[in-house]
Amino acid sequence: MKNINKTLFSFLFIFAFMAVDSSTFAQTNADLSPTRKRAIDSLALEKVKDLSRYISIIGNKSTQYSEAMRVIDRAMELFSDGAEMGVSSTSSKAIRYYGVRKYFDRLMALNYDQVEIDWFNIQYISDLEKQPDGRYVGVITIFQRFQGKNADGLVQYSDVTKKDITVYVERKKTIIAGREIGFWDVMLGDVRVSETRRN
Amino acid sequence: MILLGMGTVLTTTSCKNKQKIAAEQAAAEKKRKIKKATSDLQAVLNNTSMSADERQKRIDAIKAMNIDDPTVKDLIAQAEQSVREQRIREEEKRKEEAAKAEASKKSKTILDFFSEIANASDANTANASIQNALKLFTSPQAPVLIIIAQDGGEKDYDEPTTAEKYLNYVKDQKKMNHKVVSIGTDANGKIKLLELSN
Repeated sequence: MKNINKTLFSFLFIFAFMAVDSSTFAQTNADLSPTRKRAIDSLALEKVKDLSRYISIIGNKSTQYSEAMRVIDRAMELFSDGAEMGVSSTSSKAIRYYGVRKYFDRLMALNYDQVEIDWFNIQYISDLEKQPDGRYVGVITIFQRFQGKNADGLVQYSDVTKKDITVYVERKKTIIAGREIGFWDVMLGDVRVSETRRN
Repeated sequence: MILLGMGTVLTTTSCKNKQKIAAEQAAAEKKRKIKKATSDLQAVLNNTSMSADERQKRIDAIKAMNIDDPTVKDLIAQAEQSVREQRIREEEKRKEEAAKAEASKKSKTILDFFSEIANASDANTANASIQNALKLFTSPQAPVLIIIAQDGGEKDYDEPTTAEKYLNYVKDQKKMNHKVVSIGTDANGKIKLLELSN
């Protein structure tokens, strides 16, 4: 009798474990509906476009120092800790990587009278895919047109750089005004230079 | 003597008849009143298009008749309960409409600011508009939520931000693509929670 009870207990324990395990498995692998997936795709793309605008403001020589510093703080919020930004030039094959804060500081201090930076053809080259840890990861590519001008408005240096940005999207929850809010946290990772050419 | 006796008997009989008739008449009148009151109270109970004040007025008129009948008393209690519930519903509706009107008023104002900030000619002008817009909020840290998707009864939001950060975002991006979904206000009418959507 004792043995039967022991066997039954073991069976129930294994069954219960399997039930919990399979429900967890089903939960973590549950796919998002197309509507929600499209929404997070757009959200991540929008964050990259926001960064594009911040870079343009930071680089612009007519931006007040206090404004530039505020915008740098906002831009920093878009990046994950330790993210790096690749910098290239047409005069060298070398690509240098800087921590994002350092990159923004250098961008603000560029030795031109006028700096114009704009990003275009912003699109996914690798769709957001769900990872085992539950995060979605994708890669967005952008083309950056850079122009450094002198006081007379003459272009001293210009290039077009193709950059790939890794994006991480994670579902999080928080409490706002007593309500539980489910939100998508978009974080930008490293920005890698994949191509540089003269403009 | 005999005549006197007969007269007394006749008078007594006539009085008794009168009393009986009067009692019957009173009973008939009470019955009529009960029937009328019951019918009126049922009408008050069933008529949902009447205002609570109008219904209470009719109940008061029936109560003033002081009809001592358990059915009528029960109907009065039911009708008064129904009026109390109607008053609560009417009050809730009034508050809801007032909140909607307030939200509409506020959304115009805040939308005006969004547009002003997005289209400002320079940072200083935009900053001045931001300072004015912030006066509409309980604090610069008042939460701003942006719905990015709604599917299967679940809402997905962008990362929650604050009034100050959102207004600066509008300034930096020079655009305001979001719609106002709801505005939560405090007792002073200041925005304590702003919910937007794409």
